[in-house]
Amino acid sequence: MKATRDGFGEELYDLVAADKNIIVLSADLSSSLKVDRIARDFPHQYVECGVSEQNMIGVAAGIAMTGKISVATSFATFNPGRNWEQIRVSVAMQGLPVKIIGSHAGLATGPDGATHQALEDLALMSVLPGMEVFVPADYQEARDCTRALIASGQPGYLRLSREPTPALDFGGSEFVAGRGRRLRSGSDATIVACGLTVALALEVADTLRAQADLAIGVVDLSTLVPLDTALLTQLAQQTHAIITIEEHELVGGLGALVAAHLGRTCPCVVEMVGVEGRFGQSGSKEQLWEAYGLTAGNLQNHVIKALERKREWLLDDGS
Amino acid sequence: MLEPRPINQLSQISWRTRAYVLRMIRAAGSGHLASSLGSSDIFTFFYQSVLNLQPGSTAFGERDYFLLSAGHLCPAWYATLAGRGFFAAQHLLSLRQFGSPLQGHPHRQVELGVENIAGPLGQGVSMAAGLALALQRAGSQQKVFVLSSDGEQQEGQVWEAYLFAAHYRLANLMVIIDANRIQQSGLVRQVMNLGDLAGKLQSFGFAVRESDGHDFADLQAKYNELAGVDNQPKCLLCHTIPGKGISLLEGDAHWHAALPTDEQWDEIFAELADKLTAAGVDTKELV
Repeated sequence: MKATRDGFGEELYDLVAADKNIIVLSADLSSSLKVDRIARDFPHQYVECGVSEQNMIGVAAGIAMTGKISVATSFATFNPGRNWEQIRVSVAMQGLPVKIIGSHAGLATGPDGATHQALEDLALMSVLPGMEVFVPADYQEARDCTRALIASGQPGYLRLSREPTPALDFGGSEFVAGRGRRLRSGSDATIVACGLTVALALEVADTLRAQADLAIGVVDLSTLVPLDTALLTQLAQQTHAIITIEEHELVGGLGALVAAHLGRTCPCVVEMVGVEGRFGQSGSKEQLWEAYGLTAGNLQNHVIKALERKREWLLDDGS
Repeated sequence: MLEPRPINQLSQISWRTRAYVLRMIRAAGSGHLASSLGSSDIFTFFYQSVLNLQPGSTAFGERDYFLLSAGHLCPAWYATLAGRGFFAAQHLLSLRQFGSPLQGHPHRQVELGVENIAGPLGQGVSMAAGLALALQRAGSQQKVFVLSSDGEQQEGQVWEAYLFAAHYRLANLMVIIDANRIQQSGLVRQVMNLGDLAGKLQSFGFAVRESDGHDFADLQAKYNELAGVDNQPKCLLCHTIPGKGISLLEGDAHWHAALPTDEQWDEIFAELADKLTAAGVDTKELV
């Protein structure tokens, strides 16, 4: 088992080794962000900023002004939490290729408690014009997202988790930046997930197929911005029921982005699973996911509810 | 490095800058008069006597960088850039207008000499530090200058940047502080006293010189002293008079962001005409 932050650190190491133009910055969290090997082996491409996340963004922007790609790393609660206005002005408004890496996102950060569990970072970043947003679901996808993030000339955000998790079986679906990955196909409903919750989506879809003969599709939306609108519209047209799940506050996260798009283009039944109007707290990942409704059981209930609503909705529509 | 210009030429250029600043802000109907007038001599000194730049050639590999961190001073920056040949002076009167590249607070447009975005205070110093580090690591001789203000020192981010600049011994970085002693709500020492600013910067590891920000000979002398310092970032702390040059506006925190009445504008422009004549500026040259 490996964490998405491991995938980031290992892929970035290879990219830094191959391209002198990439500069990695840290705010005293190089080992947590898995960039300590870069600091050791490529000191010329590494900048320690100390515990100064606001200055780190300005420095990253200044370095990018010389034509380099800056990768600014810290915990998601601080980066973009602490330094959001610096990201808005120094990075996004200037359109500089500065990559914001926020690790330890979500409840899975566990024992460190509410202050360290970013549940708002996707909202903060997806609202900024021109900012790409990536949320990898496992170690390998984190490597893929890291490559896509660095290859893009735009500002970008990569959300990472601390917890090691099992490798997902992506079947034959290839990672393509900006595209959702269809991990299961199904005509009854579609679960759209990102990050660590993709594993739950797969579990629920497989259970419902085996136990209730329901065909539930699963889409892994590892690129949140730009949103794969074509795929979402197609899924809404095909299944008329979308269930989103995310390890994030429902306001401004994956579900909100998906629902806003579908509401304007192809209204259908939408159910959302995520954190609602609460901060986190200390506990294990398992305890917290249970307490905040990020469980297979809760997701399954929402799928069933979506199917019931879809039935009523289609009947109403017919009359 | 440029050849220092004769002081009477600098004075004329700075008066032209002030004339444009006044016209721009009157036309725009808003803008920061006092600090734009108060920083005109600093802008003039650096752009006319120090900075190695080739307007129109951003790729010029040996060029210096001048960033503005206290973005509200931008009327004086824009007028200075036009005076240095980055763009035609007639564009200045589009300040703050819809569609103008000259926004009320600067937006990065390198080809116009507007190197960075600014306005939200504290960010330009960090950008300058990042630029300076990248140039230092590249072994470049290029220098980075960033103009800040005394009020801006209340932002914590600048002190993060000072730690950083000293830690990495960014000798190619010079922070210029326009210390005009005023800010939005009144006098800096009353709103949030900075105490011994020069001493604080020295204790952070900066080589610091204090200068009369309106005395070109003093600016040159203190700049020369700092230019000879190795291994340390530098700070030129410039004491200035807000509203410098126009009696009504001088030294009064009220004019940080306030706008004169029509009658006051008439009075200001009458005094400006006299001052331009006294400085030997040919007003027919002004667009």
